[in-house]
Amino acid sequence: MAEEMVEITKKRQKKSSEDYTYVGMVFHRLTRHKLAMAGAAMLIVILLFVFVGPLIWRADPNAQIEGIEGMFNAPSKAHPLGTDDYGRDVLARMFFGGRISLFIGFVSAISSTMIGAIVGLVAGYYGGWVDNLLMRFTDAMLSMPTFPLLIALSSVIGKGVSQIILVIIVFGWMQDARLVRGMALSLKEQEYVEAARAIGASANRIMWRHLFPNTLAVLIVSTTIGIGSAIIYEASISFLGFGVQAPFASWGNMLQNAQQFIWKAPRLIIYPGLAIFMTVLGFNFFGDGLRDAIDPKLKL
Amino acid sequence: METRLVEVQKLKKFFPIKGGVFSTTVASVKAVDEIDFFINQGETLGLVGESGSGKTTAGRTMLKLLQPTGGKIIYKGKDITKLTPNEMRPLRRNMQIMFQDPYGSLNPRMPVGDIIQEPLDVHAIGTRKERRQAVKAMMETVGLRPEFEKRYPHEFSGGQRQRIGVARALVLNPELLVLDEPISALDVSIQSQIINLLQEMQQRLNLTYLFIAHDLAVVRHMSDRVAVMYLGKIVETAENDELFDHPLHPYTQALLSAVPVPDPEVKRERIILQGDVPSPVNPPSGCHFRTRCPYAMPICKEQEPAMIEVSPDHTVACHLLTKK
Repeated sequence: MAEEMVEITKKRQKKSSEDYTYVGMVFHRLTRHKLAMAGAAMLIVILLFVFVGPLIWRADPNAQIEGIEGMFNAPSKAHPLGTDDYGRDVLARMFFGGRISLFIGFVSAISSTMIGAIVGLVAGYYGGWVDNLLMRFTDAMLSMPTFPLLIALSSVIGKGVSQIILVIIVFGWMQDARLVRGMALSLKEQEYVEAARAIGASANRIMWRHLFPNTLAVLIVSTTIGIGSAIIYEASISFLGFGVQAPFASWGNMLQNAQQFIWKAPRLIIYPGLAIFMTVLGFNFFGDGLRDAIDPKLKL
Repeated sequence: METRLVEVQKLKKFFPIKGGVFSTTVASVKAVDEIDFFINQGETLGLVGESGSGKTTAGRTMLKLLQPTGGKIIYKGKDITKLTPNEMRPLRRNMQIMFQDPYGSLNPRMPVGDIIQEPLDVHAIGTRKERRQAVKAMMETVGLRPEFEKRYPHEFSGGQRQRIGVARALVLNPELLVLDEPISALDVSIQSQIINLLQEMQQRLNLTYLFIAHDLAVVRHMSDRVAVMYLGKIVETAENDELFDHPLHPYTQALLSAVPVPDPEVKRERIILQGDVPSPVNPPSGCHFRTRCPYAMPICKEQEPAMIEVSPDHTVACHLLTKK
């Protein structure tokens, strides 16, 4: 009996020491956040769908069934989600379109956050005219009408996955720059930054070893939510016809393709629309939960 | 013959207050207003004064963490006032600072081993292995267990964190250490531990301290000489015992009369100062202390008292002494 008690106490102690690390604490709080867990569940479903799905359903997303009888097939055993206007398997296109959409989302969100972080750190740390210059440039970027510019830009740089990523990065870093600048402004007044200056640390070292790690938690949240909006962005660009080009699928160009057949085959719009909706909602819920979990003042 | 390690002459640090449409400088906070002091090799200079008297600013300006508005800083006979940050870097090995706040002065995202090692990294001293070895040795020296090097600052108590601060400051083996109220954020029981550690380190490594504090008992215990600051000015400097036994400036007298004596039988005259410390934006004309001085005279308003040496190594800035 007594031994059992000792055993239980030991286990508890182990648990509490795990909670004591920052990551452990955040994780623990995250698991108690219902919305975040709902978001995580949605994301897991989407990721399984996109990455494990093609291993089970091995159909070529670009293979067409010739002839009129291959077009707009209703869901059947041969085509679980039916076929589209070219007689292509919609389920396979959903898998591969999802991969492209998620790839674009991840790469552009992470890169734009990094660029935002660099601009924000430099502006916030140096202050003065550097700050003024960078922040006015940020403001200018924020006040640009994105879509008209985008259309003009795509005629110059062409259309395709890497171009979309580039465009999303170019128009997506400003919020993060403002966020990081604000944090850098307050962090650089901390005594540990002064201590670093006292030992002769360079500006670069202070920015990357002292300021950046302290903004990381917030940046991860921002990236998570950023992935969601990058996917929406990709969908919008592809919807306008300036994004991922046929025959390659993305959820966005599947939507665009389907709009002409909205009355004839509404399911062609519902599938990618639903997938985008779930993915973005999942990232937003999870990101919001993460934001709450890293804020120690919030009771969870 | 004692050698002067560092000396400041007419050191000034003003912080501008910006205002108006074009954010022009409308006024300035005169945090440090033409002060002179020197520190000899191996000694401890105590710098005391109440909150807002500019003692912390004086310490940081001396290390050029803040660019002085005027005056000179002479380190080992070399004028370092105008040096750029790059030119300062090699000198930073020899002058370090330890901070008041054991929570704000350590990066919460860095393991303590890395915090202590950073000075060695910055100055590229030794190989990676040697640096790690030096960190462990340093941790042991200041009374931390070397196996804690992977832990983060929040896992330590206030006193342990100050030990980390000492280790970081001493790992480069500096000559001069500015102690910016190193114990005022600690429990009384821990204060003595840190004080003892600092004294032990001073003896072992032949360190020179600028000890900034407002706890007079601790200053008396630590210092060889003491300088008293009031509103950006040094009003009195003397040898430790001389200052505490024969304070000459009315402000020093008032300050010392506020120190509690651990004997209920002793009856003392408490000098209670009237009013608040005036704003350092608009310090009083003449002597800065005249608005609260019990002996203020007409001349105090008109003329700033000069520093005069009343006895060897005892200087005071007060018109009461010029008259005599």
